Amino acid sequence: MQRSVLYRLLLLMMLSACGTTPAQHPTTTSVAAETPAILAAEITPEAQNYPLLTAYQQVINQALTATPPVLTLGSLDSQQAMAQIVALNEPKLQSQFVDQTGTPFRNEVFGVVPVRESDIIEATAACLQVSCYRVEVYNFALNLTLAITVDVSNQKVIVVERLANSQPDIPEYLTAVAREIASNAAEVEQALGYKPTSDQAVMANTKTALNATRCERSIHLCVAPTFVAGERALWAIVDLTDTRLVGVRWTNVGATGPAVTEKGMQNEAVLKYCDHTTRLERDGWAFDYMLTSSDGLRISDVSYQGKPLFKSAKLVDWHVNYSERDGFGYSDAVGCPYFSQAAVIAVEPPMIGEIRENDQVVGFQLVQEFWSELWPEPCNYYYEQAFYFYFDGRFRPAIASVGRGCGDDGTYRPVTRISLAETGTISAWNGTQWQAWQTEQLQGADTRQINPDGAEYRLDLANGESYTIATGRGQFDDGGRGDQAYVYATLDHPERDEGESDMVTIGPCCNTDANQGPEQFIDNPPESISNQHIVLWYVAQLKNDDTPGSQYCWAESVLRRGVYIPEEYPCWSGPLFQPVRGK
Amino acid sequence: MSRRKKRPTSAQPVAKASQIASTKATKAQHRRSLLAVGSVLAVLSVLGLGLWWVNRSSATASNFPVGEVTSCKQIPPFAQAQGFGVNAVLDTQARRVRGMVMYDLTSDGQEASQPAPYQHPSWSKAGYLSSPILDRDGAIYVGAVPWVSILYNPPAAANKVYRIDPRTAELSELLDLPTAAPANNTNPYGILALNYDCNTHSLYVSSVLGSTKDQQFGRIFRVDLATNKASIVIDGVDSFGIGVYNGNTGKRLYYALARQPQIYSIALDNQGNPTGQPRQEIDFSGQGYHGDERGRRISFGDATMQVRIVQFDYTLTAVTNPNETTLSYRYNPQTDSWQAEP
Repeated sequence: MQRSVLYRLLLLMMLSACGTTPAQHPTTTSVAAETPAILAAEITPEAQNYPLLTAYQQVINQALTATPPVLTLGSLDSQQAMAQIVALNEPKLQSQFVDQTGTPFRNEVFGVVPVRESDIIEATAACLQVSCYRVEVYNFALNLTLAITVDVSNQKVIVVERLANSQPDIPEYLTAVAREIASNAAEVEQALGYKPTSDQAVMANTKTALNATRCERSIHLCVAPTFVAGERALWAIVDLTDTRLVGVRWTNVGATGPAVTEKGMQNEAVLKYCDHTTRLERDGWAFDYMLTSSDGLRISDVSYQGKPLFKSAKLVDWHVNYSERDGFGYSDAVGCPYFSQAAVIAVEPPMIGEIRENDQVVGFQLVQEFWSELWPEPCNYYYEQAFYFYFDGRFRPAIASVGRGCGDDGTYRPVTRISLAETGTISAWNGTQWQAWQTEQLQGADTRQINPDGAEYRLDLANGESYTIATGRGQFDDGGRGDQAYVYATLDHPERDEGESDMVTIGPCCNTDANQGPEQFIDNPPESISNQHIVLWYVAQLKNDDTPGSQYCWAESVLRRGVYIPEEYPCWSGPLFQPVRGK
Repeated sequence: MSRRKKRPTSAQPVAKASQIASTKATKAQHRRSLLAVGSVLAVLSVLGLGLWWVNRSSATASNFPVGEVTSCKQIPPFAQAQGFGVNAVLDTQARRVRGMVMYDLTSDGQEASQPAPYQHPSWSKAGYLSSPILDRDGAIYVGAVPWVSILYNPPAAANKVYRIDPRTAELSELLDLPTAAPANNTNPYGILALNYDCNTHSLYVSSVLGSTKDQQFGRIFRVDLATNKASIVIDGVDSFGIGVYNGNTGKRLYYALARQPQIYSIALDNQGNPTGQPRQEIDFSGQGYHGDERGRRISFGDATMQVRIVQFDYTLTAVTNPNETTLSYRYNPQTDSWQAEP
C-alpha cells in the first residue's frame, strides 16, 4: 500500500512537471459471482434415469454403421423427407461423412427447412423457380456444418456449404436430451435445493454460441438449459458431444455480464485455488496447497504424524528441448489460468483421489493438470503434477508429460523443488555405505549407486526421522521408463529467496546437461549443507517417443464412436521418499 | 492407481492441425503469443508506393482531413541499403529468432531466401518485441512483449520503448515509461501496443504494467517524438490496441480495453494531448471465436476501422491457432460514430 502511495505521489509530481492532465477512464465495476461456478463430476448415467439419453446413444451407434453414416431427422413431411434423402445420397458428399480411412464421423441432420426467397443467393438462384430445402448436417468430430441446398422438384443437390466452427440450431430430440441431462444432474439439484423436472429447464435450445461454440476449450456442441428461481437463473451447460454436464452457475436475471461459458466456469472454479491456500489433513498427513502463478501446484507446511517434513514442494519449470533443431524448445511455466506467468495453465481445480496397490487403498493423491487449449494438436502441451501421500509415510512428488509437443525429438526436463522443514543431512550411496554430502552439490544418473534397498540417497533429519530417496528408474509401475535425473542439494537461504516464493523462469529450454537452473544456487565455493536446511532439486529427463506401440510423453487424436478423443501416453517421473524403519 | 479420467477432448484431428501449422518453416515455430500474432507488420511494399503525408505538423484540429493518420510512414533507409525491395517485412513473430528480423516475401507470401534475412545485432537484445511501428522518418518503435516465458523479457524492462534508427538500424532504448505500480509476479506484461499519428508526430503506447487481477494500473502514454518526452493520456485503465483517427469533430484516440470487449475513445487536441472525457464507441461482446475477446489491434482506413480481436488472460499461454477475428466498422460522419459492417 505504501508503495502504491509513493507511486501516486511520483505521478503527481510528474504531471505537475509536464503540465498535462491525464484523463481518467470511466470506472467499471465487475461484480464477483455470489456463488461461483461448480464443475460437474464425470458420471456414468444409469439407463433408468436417462431414457432419452440411452435411446439417443443407441441411435448414434446405429447411425455410425449405416450408409451413409448419418443420423437422420424423423417426423418430416414428404418434401422434407425427400430433401433429406437426396442430400444424404449425393455421391459427392459421401467423403464428407468419413475420415481419410473411411471411419465414420458422428453426423446428424439437425434441420430440414424450406429455402425462403429471402435466403436465396446467386448460387441458389434456381430455387426461385423450384421448391428447395436446406438440409443442415452437423459433424460432431470436426465441429462443422454442411448446409446442403436441395432442389426437391428435380431431386438434386444445388449447392453445399461447408461451415467450419459452425453449429446449427439443435433439433427437439436433442433439446430433450439436454434437459434430461441437466435435470438429473446432482450439481443442479444441489444448486437449486431440489430435483427439478426436465420441463423446468428453459432455453435449452439456445446454443451457448452465436458465431462459434462457447464450449471454447473442448470445441464441443454445448447448450445451456436454464432454471429460473426468482431473480436468479441457474445455467447448466450441457456438452452434447460428450453428453454430459459441464457445470452450473448462477446469474441474475436481466443482469448483463460476461457470457456463461465452459472456460468461464472452469476459470472460476480454479481461481479460488490461486487466491487462497487450502488446508488438507488426512490419513496422518497435513499440509496446505495452492495453485501458483508459475510454479504449478505448491504444497507447504507438510507434516506426517505431526512431524514436519517439507517446508514446500513445487514444480518450478518444464524445459522442453528438441534435439533435431539446435537450441529450439521452450521453458514452460505452469500455473493459474488468469493473471499468471504460466504458459500452460490449470483448467480444473486440484483433485484428490485414492492410491491403490494390489487392489488395496494405500494412500491418497493430490493431482493437478495443466494443458494447452488445443492439445493434443502439435505444439500443444499437457502436464500432470501429483503428490502421492501413503498411509505408511511414503511420499512421492510425481510429474508427467502427456505430449504432444512440437516433434518426436523432444526431451522434457521438469524442475521440481523440495524444501525440507527440518535441518538434516543428505547422503548418497557410494556402493558400500551412505556418504554424507558435506557441501552443496549435484549428481547425475551416470555416477549414482543404488543400495540394496533400491535407494540412492538418504535423508537424516534433526527430528530423528530418516528417509531413503529412490530416483525413478522404471520401478514404480506407472509406465515410467526411468528419469535419468539430476539431483541437486543446496542450502536454503530464506534471506535471498532462492525459490521459496514464486520463481520466474529458472533457466533456458535447451541445455542438455546439468545446467537446468538449480546449479545457480550452488555457491562458489559450495556452502556446507551438513545438518542444515536443505533444498532438494530434482530434474528428470524424459525423452518422448511416437513409435507405434511404444509411445511415451505423447498423445494422439483418434476417432472413436465418431468423435476425436485423445489417446494418452504419459511419462511419469519423480523420486520416492520412504521412511527408514527400525533404525 | 485410480486416476480420474480426462475431461475435454480436443476435437481437431492431428492431420488437420499439421496442415494448419505447416504453411511456413516448421510447425514448432508457429507456437505463438496471442499478443504477437499477426505482427508481421510494416509491409514495405505498401510504403514503397510512395504514400507520403505532406501536411506534417502544421495542421490543426479543424483542418485535419477526416481519415487515418499514419500514411506518412516511410521506408527506413537501412532497409534499402541492405538490398530489400518493396516486398520486405519487419517480423517480430518469427520465433526462431528473438526480437525482429527483416526479410523479403516471395510472390506466394513465403519468406524469400534472397536477400538473406537480416537482423541487426541489436535487434535481439530487448527480448521478444511488440508489433513494430514506423514514423515519417522511417524510424521504428517497438516495446518488449514476453513470449512463452519472461526469460528474455524481464518485467523490469516491460515498459521500455525502443527506437530503431532509420539509417544505422541500431536498436536503442528511447524511454522507460513511468509505472503506477511496480511489476508483480502475476502479470508478465507491460507495453501491449503502440501506434503513431503523423499529424502530431506522436507515438501512443498502451501499457498494463503493475496491474493485478483486482486493480488496473494501466496507462496510455503519448510520446512527443520531437522532444522524446512522454505524458500520460489516460490513467488507471488497462488497454490493448490503440489508434488515432481524425473524425468530423476532430482527432480522437481509440483504445480497446484489455479486460472487456469494448473500445473507447478520447478527444485529442492539436498537439495530440487529451481533452474531455473518454466515451464508449464499440461493444463487441459475443463476437469472435470465443465470444469474449479483446481488441489487440486497431487500424483505420479513410472511413473504416478494423479491429483484430483475440483472447487475452494476462498469461503467457501460447496457442498454435489463436483464432483471431477481424471486425470491420464504417465511420458515420453525421453521428461521429462507427457502425459494424457485415
